[in-house]
Amino acid sequence: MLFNSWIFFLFLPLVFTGYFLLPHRWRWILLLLASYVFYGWWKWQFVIILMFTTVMDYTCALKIDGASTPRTKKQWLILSLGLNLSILFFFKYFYFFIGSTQFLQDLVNPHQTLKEMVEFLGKALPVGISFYTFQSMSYTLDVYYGRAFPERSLKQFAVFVSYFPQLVAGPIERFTHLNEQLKKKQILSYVNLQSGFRLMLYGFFVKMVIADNLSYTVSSVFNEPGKWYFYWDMIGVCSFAFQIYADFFGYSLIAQGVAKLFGIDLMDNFNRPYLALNITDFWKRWHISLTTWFRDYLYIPLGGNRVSKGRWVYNIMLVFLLSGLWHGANYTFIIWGALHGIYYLIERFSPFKIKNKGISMLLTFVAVVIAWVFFRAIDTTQALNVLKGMSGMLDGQRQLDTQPYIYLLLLIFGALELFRRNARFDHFCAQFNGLQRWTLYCFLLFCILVLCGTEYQPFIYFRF
Amino acid sequence: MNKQIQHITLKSLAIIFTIWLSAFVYKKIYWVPELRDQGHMLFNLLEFQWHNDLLYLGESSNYWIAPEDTDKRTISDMINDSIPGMRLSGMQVPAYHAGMFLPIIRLLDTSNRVRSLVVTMNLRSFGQPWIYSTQENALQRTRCFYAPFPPLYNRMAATLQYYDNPSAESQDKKMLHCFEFDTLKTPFPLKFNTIKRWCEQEKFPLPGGGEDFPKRVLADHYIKAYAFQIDTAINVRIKDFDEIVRVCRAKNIRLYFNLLSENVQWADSLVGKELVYFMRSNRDLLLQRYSRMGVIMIDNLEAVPGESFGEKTWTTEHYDQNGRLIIARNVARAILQNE
Repeated sequence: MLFNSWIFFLFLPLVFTGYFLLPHRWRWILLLLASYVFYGWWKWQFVIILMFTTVMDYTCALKIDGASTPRTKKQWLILSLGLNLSILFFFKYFYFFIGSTQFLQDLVNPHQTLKEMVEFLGKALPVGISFYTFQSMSYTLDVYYGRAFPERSLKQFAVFVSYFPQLVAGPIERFTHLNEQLKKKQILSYVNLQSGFRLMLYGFFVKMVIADNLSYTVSSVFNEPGKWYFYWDMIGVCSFAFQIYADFFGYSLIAQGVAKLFGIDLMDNFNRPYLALNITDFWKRWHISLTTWFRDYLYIPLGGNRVSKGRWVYNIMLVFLLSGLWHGANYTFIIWGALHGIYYLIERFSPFKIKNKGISMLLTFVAVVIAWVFFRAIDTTQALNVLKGMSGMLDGQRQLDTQPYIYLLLLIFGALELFRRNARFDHFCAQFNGLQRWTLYCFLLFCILVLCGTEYQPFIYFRF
Repeated sequence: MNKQIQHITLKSLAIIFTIWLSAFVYKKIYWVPELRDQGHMLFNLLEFQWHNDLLYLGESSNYWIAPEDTDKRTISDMINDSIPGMRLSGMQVPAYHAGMFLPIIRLLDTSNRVRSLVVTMNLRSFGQPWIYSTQENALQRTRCFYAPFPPLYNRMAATLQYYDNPSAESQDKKMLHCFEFDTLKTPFPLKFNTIKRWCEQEKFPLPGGGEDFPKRVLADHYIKAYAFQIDTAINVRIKDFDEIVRVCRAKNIRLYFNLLSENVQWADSLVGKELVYFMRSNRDLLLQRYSRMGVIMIDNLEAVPGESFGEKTWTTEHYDQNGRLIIARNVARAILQNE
């Protein structure tokens, strides 16, 4: 189920009302059912995979906790990680792996059933599988490292894994943070409702008005690179930078808003990433829940920065390459990750430090935008063509017919982001008096109703 | 308590006012330009209904032009040139069918100049490949813009996917199910009673061995497009056309159904008499049904010769200038006899 679909506007009030009408001890049933319906709306079969992950990690965590020796403990952890990664590999990377290995293709292609199965896997990627697999994996890892006690109740753990606001596109929550809140008896509160609606309103504005309206420019440039004047290619690529930010940030805000209605606080996933002064800073601001996941469960266990320089370079590149691969089975994502890894290393080893904040912000933005080209392109050829188009090498001669108001809206969005500083949008609103606040709400509502894109635009991060 | 009620009332009023203002601004400023892209037929209707005696509702057959054509007029333009004293304009969008024409006809303002409608009737649109086409999603989305509700409501319905939104997978599944299980009944014996079996037994051997694959693909396509029997009780297109008749009757509008030409010659030479039987029997059913309902039926099914069809490797209703002229003359003749 999409947040920006009519069925969600029916689903949410029903679940919300039911949740607060039910006594606390029955609420878990409603939340679990609602989450499975929300997820199964795409394809009910996906729920089976989700259930399997839940039962598997629940069992493994209990076994880890009850293991008598460190060796047995480790074995259960390896089993949990192995199964999680196998599911992920099977559904997400198997098709790509076969497609890029000639030997395997020769093995599969003569057998019709096998070929059909592989093709089916190529199309049947369960929505948001990387998100909930990582969330579930973090739980067993936390139990293994003694950072969390295992959840004895399967029903409670199932609610944690499948909690619908953040199930398909994050934020990737930590067990200790989310589960405690889910267990707590939540009371219907005006403050939560106010915060929730504020976040949702801004989230829908960011997604439906900003991200969706930019998609036309982005698709035109990426589908036909070199057709347009070079500055349109540049605008298209920069538009993608804002589209993906608005799309994912919008989703995260709506998820936070929906969760807040139920009294749950989800972590912030973004902190104005395009104001980053360098790549290190960028990764502290972009998709924070994934960055911290890689930091806590991969980079630090690998030794972090307490290793030799050579080993540290290896660790950094591995983390960035894997974070690229996490997004999808395509060379373009690997290149995207590699580019960020290289930027990071250059920044660390460069003897020159830029003191002017504006220039370093601009340079960081340009570097990030160049990497986005690979992220958005369907293959490396398309990415290179877009880069050539941007540099004027393809000699495009056409103007792109876009609506100027989109860039005005982008400016308004930029201004809102600047003014809110580090405050979350609901807290930012609290600074104003009633009239100012309601003027802002009405303006956002007006933009959503009149200026949102009408084409069907699912959230970009759903396919990860 | 009173203060709280006051606050809630004020906030509710602010929301209602914003929605009203949005609806007003959208209708005044954005609606018509957006219709140009999103609901082209309504965009045309808003203007054409005030300047025409007749409207021609069609799809790509109306405007498709062969590269060698010297006469580049559309069918509707040709009709307009043949009916002195009356004015007819064509409104067409590719892949439209009766289900798309219906909401447009519902929106026709009764106080306008239009007295008659010529509605394109495409035989293939009654068959499974068209009914379960994957294009249907996009058409249903466009249909939101044609609903008889305030424009802003229609816009939000399209944005939030408040329309029949079947997946391509489920559409294909339904179509394949029909191909496999819908039995074909004929007064003469058939060696195959489903489309699937029919397609399987079609063979095009080459003299030197092997098979003429392109010909086989085309034959398959012809069978899938025309080998069906219209069940008036369940066929959705019949329901759409029936509703068009009902709406036009209520609006006191004269109705012409222009049954388009199909390449019967090709169907005969490629697949055989059995396929032509289905084409003709469906045609007869439509002519009888809608003539009885008072619609002026224009039977063009076999009017255009095979060589005038624009695309030889596909089943389309795209005609060269000769084909378009034949259809236009038949329609114009019917109009002149009845207006």
